[in-house]
Amino acid sequence: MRGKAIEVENLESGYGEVKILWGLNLDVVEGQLTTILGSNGSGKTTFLRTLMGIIKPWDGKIIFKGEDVTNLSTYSKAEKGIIMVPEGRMIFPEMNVYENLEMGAYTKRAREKFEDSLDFVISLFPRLKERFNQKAGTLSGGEQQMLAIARGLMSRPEVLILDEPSLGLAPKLVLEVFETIKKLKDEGLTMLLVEQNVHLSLAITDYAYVISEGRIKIQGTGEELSKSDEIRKAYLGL
Amino acid sequence: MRLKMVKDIRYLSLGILLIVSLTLPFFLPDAYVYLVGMTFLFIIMVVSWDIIVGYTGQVNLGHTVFVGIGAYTTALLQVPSRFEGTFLHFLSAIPSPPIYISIIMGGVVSAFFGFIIGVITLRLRGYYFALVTAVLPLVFIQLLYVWSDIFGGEEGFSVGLERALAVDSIGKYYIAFFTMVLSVLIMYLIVRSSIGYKFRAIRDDETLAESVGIDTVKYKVLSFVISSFFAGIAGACVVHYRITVGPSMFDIPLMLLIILSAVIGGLGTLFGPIIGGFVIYLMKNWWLKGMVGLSDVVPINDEVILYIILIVVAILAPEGIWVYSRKIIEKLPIKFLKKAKTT
Ligand SMILES: Nc1ncnc2c1ncn2[C@@H]1O[C@H](COP(=O)(O)OP(=O)(O)OP(=O)(O)O)[C@@H](O)[C@H]1O
Ligand SMILES: [Mg+2]
Repeated sequence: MRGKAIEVENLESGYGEVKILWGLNLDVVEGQLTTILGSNGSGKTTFLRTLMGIIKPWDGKIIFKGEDVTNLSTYSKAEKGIIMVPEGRMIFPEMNVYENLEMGAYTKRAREKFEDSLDFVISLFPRLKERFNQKAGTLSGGEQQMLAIARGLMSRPEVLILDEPSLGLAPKLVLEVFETIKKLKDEGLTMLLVEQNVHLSLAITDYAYVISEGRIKIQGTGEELSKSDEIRKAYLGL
Repeated sequence: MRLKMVKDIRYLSLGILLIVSLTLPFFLPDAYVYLVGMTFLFIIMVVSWDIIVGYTGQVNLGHTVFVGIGAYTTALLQVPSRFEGTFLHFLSAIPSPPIYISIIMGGVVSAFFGFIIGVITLRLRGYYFALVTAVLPLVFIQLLYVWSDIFGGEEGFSVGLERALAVDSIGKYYIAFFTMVLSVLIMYLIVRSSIGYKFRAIRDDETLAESVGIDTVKYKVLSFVISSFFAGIAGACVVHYRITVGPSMFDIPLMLLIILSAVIGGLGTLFGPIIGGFVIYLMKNWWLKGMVGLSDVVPINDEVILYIILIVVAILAPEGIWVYSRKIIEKLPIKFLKKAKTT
């Protein structure tokens, strides 16, 4: 039986007076790909922000490898290896590609393995190497997303969290992103993925949660969810 | 190859600037030597502002307060008798340190206030820091008036001829010049170091910087402390340069001039603000002097011209003249190569 990388218990949070998350429960199992599905505005990004400590939890608990990290700051979580690639191809636009990768390896534990990580990342995204000196803000949308994921990997994540990595990409690039995620999963990386692309996500995920109005409505293995017509109609709009 | 050429040109122009600066006092009338020396001190203010605003992305509208804290610190250290008969009378017994220690103390006290204000305001993101720093000058000037026994109110006070940076303008000029070179060099080394990377990461995206593991509050405060330190050094030097201290030296017009210089030179480039500071300060205090009331019909004065320059730069070279000229240099070889091919 594999251990749990992250356990979330009854997590609540929101913006100002507005409550968005109403008691979320979720587990990320080590070495597995866990996916969160849900329509626009259901609270997926809000959940990830709360998980990372970018917005403070109102109530509930976040456990990372048995340790309570509920109120840790974002950078301390990053130091522990909880690494998020935020929504919308977040890169440092004024820095070049190489500097972005260096920033990824910011924490002490990542810096020590910089060369190894760089080799790995280049083998994954050979195109980035040709663009080391290019300003990241001038990369194409697809390249920026590759860079964002590459930067996340440079951090040597214990858990890699991806918020809609395929958003706004051409179909061919969407496939590429999912192939990359699959590859990383096969390498044994623990990942938490937020996606709107239900088909592709369910095809590769180990376990999935469907979130709606700030609550988990349904959960199950990728296979189980793919099969259930009712679920698909009710929550995934298919 | 082009990159190397940009570097070559940068070093070349720096070399020329150095030689010009070192020999200038031999050609220039005394009054202008004095003015150019002041310009060097002004450049420290602009470059230190660039550290927190241009490199770290935190809009500081109260930079002159830190210039002022440095100034009053050294002035009061040199003239402790100002405390006599006030509630702080016990401070009047402190013996005055040598001037250079006193100037460094100006930087240290300024950095200390930067630290306190930074720790309080930089915890939160967004406009909070800009708002608080915008109010600081009002509070600062008000305090100078309220405790005018100590600070000398509107007129300020003199530190005495014997506490000047040097006996004549030329001596002051060189001290100002070397203070600037040293300050800018230190700031350059800081922004080029890994600390500078962290500042830039925070400027680019604070949330992302935090996500890769940067303690953004810590580094924002550090940037503010460094910026305030050099602002204080500059302010302290100004006091010993002009031998007087007074509130008008640290008021809104100075803040506007700093912003103008940094923006026109190019935020976050360090070299841009040096050029911007040099050109704008001399324009304002020399080349455009006498423009006031030039014409009764067209309301043109020095300030109007400076703002016209700002607008022109904002339209033609929004990243500032430094980045703009660098781009032109980068394009040059291509043109040459093309010409060589066609002929
Ligand atoms: N900064 C904010 N301030 C106030 N409300 C916000 C903020 N960010 C998001 N919200 C609100 O919180 C709710 C959940 O938003 P969230 O971004 O978590 O949705 P999401 O599931 O990630 O959607 P999407 O699939 O479109 O990315 C929405 O109603 C949104 O309007
Ligand atoms: Mg979202």
